[in-house]
Amino acid sequence: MADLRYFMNVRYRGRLAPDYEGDELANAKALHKHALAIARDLVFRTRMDTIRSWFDCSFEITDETGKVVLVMRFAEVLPKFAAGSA
Amino acid sequence: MAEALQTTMDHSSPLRALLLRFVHTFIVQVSQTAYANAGYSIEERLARWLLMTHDRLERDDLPITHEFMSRMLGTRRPGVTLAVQMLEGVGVIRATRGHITVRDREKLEQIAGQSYGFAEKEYSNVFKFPIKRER
Repeated sequence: MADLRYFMNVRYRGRLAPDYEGDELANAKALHKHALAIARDLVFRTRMDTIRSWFDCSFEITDETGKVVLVMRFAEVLPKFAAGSA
Repeated sequence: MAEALQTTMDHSSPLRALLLRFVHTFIVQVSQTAYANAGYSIEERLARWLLMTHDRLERDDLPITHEFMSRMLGTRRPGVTLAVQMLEGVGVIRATRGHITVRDREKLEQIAGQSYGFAEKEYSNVFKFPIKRER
């Protein structure tokens, strides 16, 4: 079965940064793992002047129809949040 | 092909000197990239990278995707998307799908700060030819 394209839109303090390019992934489980890996890299390895706290960010991931398929707070990269959301 | 170039270089000291000058300026540019990666934010590094691309094209409209920019900057694409939105918000670029248009080069240079300019100055000094665009 062909991979599906998902758009990794980011919301920061109410403002949405839309992703027009997207990533191809096999299913919802792979999508969540992919989103966590990106959030982890951004939170722990990326410095941006405009983002005061990465924990104020969340993914609002849409599919090719524009439907939101996953909302994930970046705080999920922290173990205590991950345990709470399981 | 490489052999032909080597033979020509052996017979032409001006060509050898010119190519060595290019190697020198390229090393300076790579060093400047390492410096930028170590000490500058994504917004500053994106501004630098857009300026470098702008220098090398004879147009203001740059045909580049966020995915490509994220590879060049060694970061994740959403980081680039946020930085592009910031640069667009302050009016220095206009972004559409697959395209970035430089609107205010001077301000872009201000945002890039010291991450941009040193390698370009070295190139101009070595080749007596500016690589940096004025506008």
